[in-house]
Amino acid sequence: MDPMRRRSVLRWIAVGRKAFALLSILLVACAPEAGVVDVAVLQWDPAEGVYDLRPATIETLSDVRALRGEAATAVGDSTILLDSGRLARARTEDELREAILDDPGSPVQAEYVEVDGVLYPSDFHSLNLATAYFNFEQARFYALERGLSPEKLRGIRFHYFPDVRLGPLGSGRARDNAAFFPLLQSFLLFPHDKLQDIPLAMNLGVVAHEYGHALFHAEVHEEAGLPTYPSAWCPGGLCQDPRGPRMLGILDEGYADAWGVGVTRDPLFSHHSFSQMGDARVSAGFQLNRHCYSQEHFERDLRSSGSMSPDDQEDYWMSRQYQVGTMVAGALYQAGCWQIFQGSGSCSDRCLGEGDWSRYDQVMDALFRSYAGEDGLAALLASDPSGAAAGQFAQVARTVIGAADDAAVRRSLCAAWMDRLALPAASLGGLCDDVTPTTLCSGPVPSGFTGCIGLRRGGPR
Amino acid sequence: MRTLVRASLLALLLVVAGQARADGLLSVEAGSTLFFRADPRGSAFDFEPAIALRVGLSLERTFGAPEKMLLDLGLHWYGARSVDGPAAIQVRRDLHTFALPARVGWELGWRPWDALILAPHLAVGPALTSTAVTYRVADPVAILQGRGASESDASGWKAGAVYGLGLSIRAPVGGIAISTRLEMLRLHRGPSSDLGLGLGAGVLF
Repeated sequence: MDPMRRRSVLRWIAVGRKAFALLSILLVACAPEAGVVDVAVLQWDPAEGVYDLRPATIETLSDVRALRGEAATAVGDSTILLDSGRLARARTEDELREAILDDPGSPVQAEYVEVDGVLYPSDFHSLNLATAYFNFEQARFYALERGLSPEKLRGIRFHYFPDVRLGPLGSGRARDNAAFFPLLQSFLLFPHDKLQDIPLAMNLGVVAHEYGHALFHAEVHEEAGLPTYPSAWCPGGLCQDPRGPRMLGILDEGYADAWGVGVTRDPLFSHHSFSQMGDARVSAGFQLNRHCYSQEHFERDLRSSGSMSPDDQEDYWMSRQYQVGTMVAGALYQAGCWQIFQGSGSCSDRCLGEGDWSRYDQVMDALFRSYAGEDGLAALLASDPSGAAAGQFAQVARTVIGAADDAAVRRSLCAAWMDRLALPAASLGGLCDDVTPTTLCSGPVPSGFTGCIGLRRGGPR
Repeated sequence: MRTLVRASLLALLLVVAGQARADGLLSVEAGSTLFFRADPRGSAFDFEPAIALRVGLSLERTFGAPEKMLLDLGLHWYGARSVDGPAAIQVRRDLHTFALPARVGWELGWRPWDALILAPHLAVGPALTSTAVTYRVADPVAILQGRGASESDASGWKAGAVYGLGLSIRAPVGGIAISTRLEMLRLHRGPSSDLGLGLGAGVLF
């Protein structure tokens, strides 16, 4: 090439490089910044009692487009395959994880329109993702206030709309659900299909409920992919005493509901996403069949399900653990939110309205301490060779009541748990000797009690 | 009203077509483009069909370009609408992109039919995109309370660029020229670039 032409080509290459650099700077300048950002998300409005789109300050994002930060990390386009053949071949926990996570996915790519410094998600999925991150952040903040170590659950992944294939042949796709998957240390936010209400990822209570599962797992099971108790309690899959494993399922669900209420201040949080479900999962209010249970009732349930086939037993307890879990969450709600005036038969239902939630937060403080505290649930599981002790409501109640560091909170917990679980003071190791339980479950409901039985609907709460 | 607008556009096209000339300076083309956009869900891409209009101004004579050279400037408009979400939360996005690419190409000596003039070309130019988003929230609890759905919106402009390659196909028939194009474009109108496959047809006048 002659020198003149060569010089010309080099000059054009240099111009091209400068133009590319300038374009890159312009494109980077257009990209949303991370750090503290204002993003329009679907938010629960306690004053109006409904969800609506409002700007929120998100504090922990390191990448606003990928929705990655301290509170959570979004993962898109992953495939989770629950194929019994693949699972059977896995020998280690890592192999099991690899067998399940068929495609680990990739970062999501939310897009926004910036208006007056607020990022507005420019499509449904971007809104769903940004709202989900905001909800994880709110749930995490609440847990940090309760004592969660900042290093735990940091940047935990949530698989957004994963392709979850069920069954031995990978047929059937999971839809309309949200879950915490301990083995993957991840949340799963499934695609919506039949559910046409507020999407689960956008429901702060649902996300906080799932975060409650992660907290339970992190504290009680020390983040183990596969908790150790099943191998000890159920060698070869045959449980020595079914009470322990079933109790853990109940507590996991009930406590998760309590976290949902704590974060949202909305005991009716499920109504926004499951409008057809009614009050079956509502911890507030009082209904005898929904909010009262006992050790005797539990063991009767176990005996009747014991005659079922193993698959039917699993199906039965899969739904029963939610129902009994609602009772546990109801006991915590009563301890935190109801001021019950014995004798007069009246009550002050402070939390459903704009009442004082500080007592409820103290109850949640105690609940969190009860997970891994000295006399907590983790210690109870570790010291229980068969699951028989962990399967006792009295033992479980002692872990929570014993974790209360305030006398008034302790008495509230005693009154609620003793009544709703029919626990005599003598079974609680002296923790509740100075407390007279309420008598909602054990006696006739006082006539003047209707004020906090019915749930307020039909107008702004 | 919509019928009136459609009838007016049709009449305008007929008038324009009536003015068409084989050696025209201006071209008007309508078409559609399928964009492959970055998928917020993290997959490789998401489809976005768009309708497109192009008004082109021939520059060959202005710059004294060789006879076989294609040199023109086009104003492109791409319009796309998407609505997504369950009944309780619907997000509608309207995208309007205006691009001004210059096209430089060369007529091929080879013609599949004598009447067809094929000119592969490169296109490059600036682009401006308006994104308007409308959010409709119908919380079932609000509906139960007798309140209606709430709506809010947001919109903004983004500057970017368009570049790509295509094939211009012209067919002079009598005094009229049919103008057609096949294009593959990359459009920078957000944090990532969208690949578009376009097809358009119109007249020169």
